Amino acid sequence: MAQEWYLMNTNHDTVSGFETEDFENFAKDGFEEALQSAMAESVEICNYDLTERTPARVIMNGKVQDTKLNSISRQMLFPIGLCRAGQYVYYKERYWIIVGLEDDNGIYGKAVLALCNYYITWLNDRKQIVQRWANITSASQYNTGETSDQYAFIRTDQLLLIMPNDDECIALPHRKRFVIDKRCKLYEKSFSPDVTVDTSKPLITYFITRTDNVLYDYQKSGHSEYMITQEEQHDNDGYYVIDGKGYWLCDIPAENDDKTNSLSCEIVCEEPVIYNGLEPSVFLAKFYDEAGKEIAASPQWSINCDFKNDLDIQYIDNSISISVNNEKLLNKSFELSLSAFEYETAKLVVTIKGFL
Amino acid sequence: MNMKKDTSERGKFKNKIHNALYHSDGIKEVLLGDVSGMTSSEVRKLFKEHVKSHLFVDEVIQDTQSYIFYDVALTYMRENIKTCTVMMYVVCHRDILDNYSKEGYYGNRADILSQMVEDCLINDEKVVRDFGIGDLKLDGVEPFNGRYLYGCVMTFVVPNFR
Repeated sequence: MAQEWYLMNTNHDTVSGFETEDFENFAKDGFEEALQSAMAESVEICNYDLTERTPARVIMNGKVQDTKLNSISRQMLFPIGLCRAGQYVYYKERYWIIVGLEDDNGIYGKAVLALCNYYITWLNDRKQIVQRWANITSASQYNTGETSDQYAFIRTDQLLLIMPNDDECIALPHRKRFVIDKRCKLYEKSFSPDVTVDTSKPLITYFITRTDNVLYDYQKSGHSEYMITQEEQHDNDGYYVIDGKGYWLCDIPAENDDKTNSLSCEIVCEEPVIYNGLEPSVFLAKFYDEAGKEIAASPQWSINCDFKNDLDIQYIDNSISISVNNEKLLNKSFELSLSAFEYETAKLVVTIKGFL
Repeated sequence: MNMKKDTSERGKFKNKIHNALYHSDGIKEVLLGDVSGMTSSEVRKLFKEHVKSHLFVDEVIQDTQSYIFYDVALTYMRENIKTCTVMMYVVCHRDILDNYSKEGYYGNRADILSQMVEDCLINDEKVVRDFGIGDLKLDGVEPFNGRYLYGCVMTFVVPNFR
């Protein structure tokens, strides 16, 4: 609709002819003013792991609903540029994820929010805990929940899971397993403070059977969707205390696995960066025995890249010192590997940066 | 199609200028004080707080410190040649202008710092030839008189191929 509507249909005969420009000039200001009124709400825009939170005023539409499905969806009107798909919105003590591509009409931006109803936890490949709020909806709403052959019945259910498309979510492998069970909170109430592992509780577990990380990728924003399928609980699925905090996890390596991994090594450095034209960056090798005690060993370094000849490399005792003075290599990376006889290889990605 | 990269000098020059300034012990001493007990990364981090590859807004910086702010402009473009201009603000807070001196250098802290910058970019044969075609030239020095900061604006020029 053209903004000139009130120039054409006005009842007043004192129009100046500049009303359209005023409308365009003050369009955003009008919305900003509305954000200060009781019509608007205070929310927080959060990144994928909730470490960055930006307070903001927005107008939330669709709050009063008359269907079950609509009640867990909202439309958010916000100042242009405030947020993007895949971010979380903390609104009325709940997390909502922005789904679909956000856009604006020159006055305000609009995004669709889906309620996050479960805080999913998993261990990534580096054995680090990752947690994300997820919007989970049924993908098999009216099935019986069971499937059978002649002799046995097993659980069957499919859920659709929406999460951000950050590196951890995108890296989720096919058949990755999760615990998705509200009873976890119930079980935790009965645990004594000294519990560190409990795999005795019946749990509902799922594994990823389909990953859509491109369908909802909008280049500078987006989210990922996963189809997850229910399966039977494994023996080591359960509650684990890691660094003093309890998590419900699947596919935890059996106890003592770490110890049997025996000899390990580590690359220690101030930062995995080499500044072009500056002093060398030093990477130190550290070796550990089965008990995790530091021991001496002879390091074997390897550099994996196609520009190794352009690097100035010095080996000093158990460290490697690398410098570079070639602006063509700016912002390139290489893999530095450390190993020794019978030790697990440690790897580090090192980036060459300009010093600014 | 051959991609034009006329603006790449802005970034390339900044890397070279930053490196050259960082390698000057005199500049580090004036800007950062005694760095002998610091690790390389601590020095780098502190250096980044005092040397910026962009210009600044007067009155925003009120700390009693010394700074170098610079930017690179491509001021004149002909068919095959362009002129690259480096504008460098060498400035010190007024409260510490007169409490520094060094053998071989003259004037107040800002004056000394500008001489060190000249040493570093113009009097070092390796550095002066590292920009564009021929040598980097000092084209002018004008006083800068801000509310909190005092110093000079040094303008360097060098032609380069497009």
